[in-house]
Amino acid sequence: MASDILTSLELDKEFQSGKIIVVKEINGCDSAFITSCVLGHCIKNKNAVFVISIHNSFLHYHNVGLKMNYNLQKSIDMGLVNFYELGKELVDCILDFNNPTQDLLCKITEKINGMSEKHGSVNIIFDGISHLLDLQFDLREVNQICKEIIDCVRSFNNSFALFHCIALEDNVTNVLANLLAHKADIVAEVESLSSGLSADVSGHLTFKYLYKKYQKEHLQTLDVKTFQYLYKLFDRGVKLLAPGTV
Amino acid sequence: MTSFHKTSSFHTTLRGTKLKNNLIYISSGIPSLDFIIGGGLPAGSVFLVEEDVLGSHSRVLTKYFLAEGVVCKHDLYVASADESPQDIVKELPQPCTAPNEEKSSHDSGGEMKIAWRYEGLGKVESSFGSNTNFGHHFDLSKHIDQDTLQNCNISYCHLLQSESNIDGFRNNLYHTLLTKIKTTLSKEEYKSCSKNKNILRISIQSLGSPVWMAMDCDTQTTYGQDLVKFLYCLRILVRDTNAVIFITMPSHLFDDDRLIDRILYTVDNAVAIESFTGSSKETNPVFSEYHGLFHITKLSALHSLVPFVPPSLDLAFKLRRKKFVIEKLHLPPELQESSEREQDDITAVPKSCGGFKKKDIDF
Repeated sequence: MASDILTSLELDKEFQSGKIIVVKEINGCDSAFITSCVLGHCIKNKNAVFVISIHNSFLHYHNVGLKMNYNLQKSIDMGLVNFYELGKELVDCILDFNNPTQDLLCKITEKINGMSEKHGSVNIIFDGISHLLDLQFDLREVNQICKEIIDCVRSFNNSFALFHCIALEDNVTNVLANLLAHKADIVAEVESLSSGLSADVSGHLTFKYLYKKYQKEHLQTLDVKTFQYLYKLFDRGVKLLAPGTV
Repeated sequence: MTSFHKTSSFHTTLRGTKLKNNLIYISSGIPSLDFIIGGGLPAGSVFLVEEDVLGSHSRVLTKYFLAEGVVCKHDLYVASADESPQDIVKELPQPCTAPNEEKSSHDSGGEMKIAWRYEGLGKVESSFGSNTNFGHHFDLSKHIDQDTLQNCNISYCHLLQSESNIDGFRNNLYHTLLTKIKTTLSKEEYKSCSKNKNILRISIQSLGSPVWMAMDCDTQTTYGQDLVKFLYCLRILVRDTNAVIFITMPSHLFDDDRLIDRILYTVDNAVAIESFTGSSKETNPVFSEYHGLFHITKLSALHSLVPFVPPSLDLAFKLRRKKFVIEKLHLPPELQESSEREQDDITAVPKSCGGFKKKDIDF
């Protein structure tokens, strides 16, 4: 039950060069379900994925994946998925008085290049990139890491890079989210309900297809149309609903 | 070899735990709190309690958390920079049997028949977790004796500030506590794959108090940076272990109101206590039955797509002599306090019809 998300992110289509997708979490909403849907899609289609996880753990994605009918552990054993728990490495660096910023970029590009040699093209998912700011990476360093990942992905055919970030008001995380959104082809904004929690609807999901700005039919318009949905999470998937159809 | 294997029998040998979504859950010690946060505290997670202004009610929650650990024979780790951890553990509430006072009050009503049109409606549940078998009930007026405490595995960490500079943190307390927790968590019994496992309950009292934030007051640009970094490191250290971290935080003392949003992103689950003591709500008749409001500020979906949705977000708590209870907030019925009868209302009957009574005349 992930087809709605995959269709909205246009991952069911083939594309010439790398696609950059940014998922913004607004109002403390969790967007890990998008990663789970995208991972399932890649595993099903046997596309190589490099997951850099700072926010959620491997066990979380593995358990969710089992409910969504794919086996993350098995895909890792096969070499199709490389799950890099960057958070653990950074925390070990901090506790050992090492500077976590050094060599991080080299490690990431090394792993990406290693996978691309084996599989041709590599899709990249970066979960919780805003935590780098918590670990005292400055905006320039985070931007550099994002730029390198984007450059790698754009050099592959038919691959994507998916960044998860939070956007808190009046905060450096908002600056990072805007920075990434500026580079993105598709932006998905995940927002919790302003009225609280509901058993019927999990939140709002807005898609912005920024790459369409440069297409002939949209050259004369100032802003590209956004697509707003409500989404509901189930045990085994996600369903998108048009506003008012709950 | 397949990755599918049944783990339920392996996990449920741990006393005072239950399994949900292939994740161990423990009780907070308060059945109503367990109910509203989805059944308990998941192992490998960080639970944050934003303290009330005086900190008295959040201290009660900590005592319940530790007392539940004593009863279930879990290991305890108590850390504090503001007060001695031994003092926190001295007055833990004693376990008691489940209270029956609610049942007896219903029985004493006699044979009362509800009107037929309301028979089909569901019963309004104000209290939560009263029918659960998970967790224990405690009596706040009695304390666990010292002999029982001495038989428990309790580690204390009283953090004292030193002048030494630590790379990575401006305040050395953060690094000291992280290193000690990491060393404790490296023990075999707290690893999720261990055969002789036990739960470790880590309590950090008043994290983010002025003792912790003293170094940050000089600057606005990096205010709270150490605290957020510390919490992230804690999240990673405790993940995939059999430990649960219970933190109380006086967020009302923060200089920057936006700091709590970043903190909430870093922890797994969080609640906030708003006590009425000293505020205008204390004398508000609307809240006469309660001692404060209870806010759920974050509930994560751990090992699941769907986060838990509590039955209500309008919650209040009562601190009775013997127990702490979280209930659904109900406003009292709108009853006029005036005993004036309708026929005495001079505005209702016009003067020409003899509406004025002798008592209404001022002279």
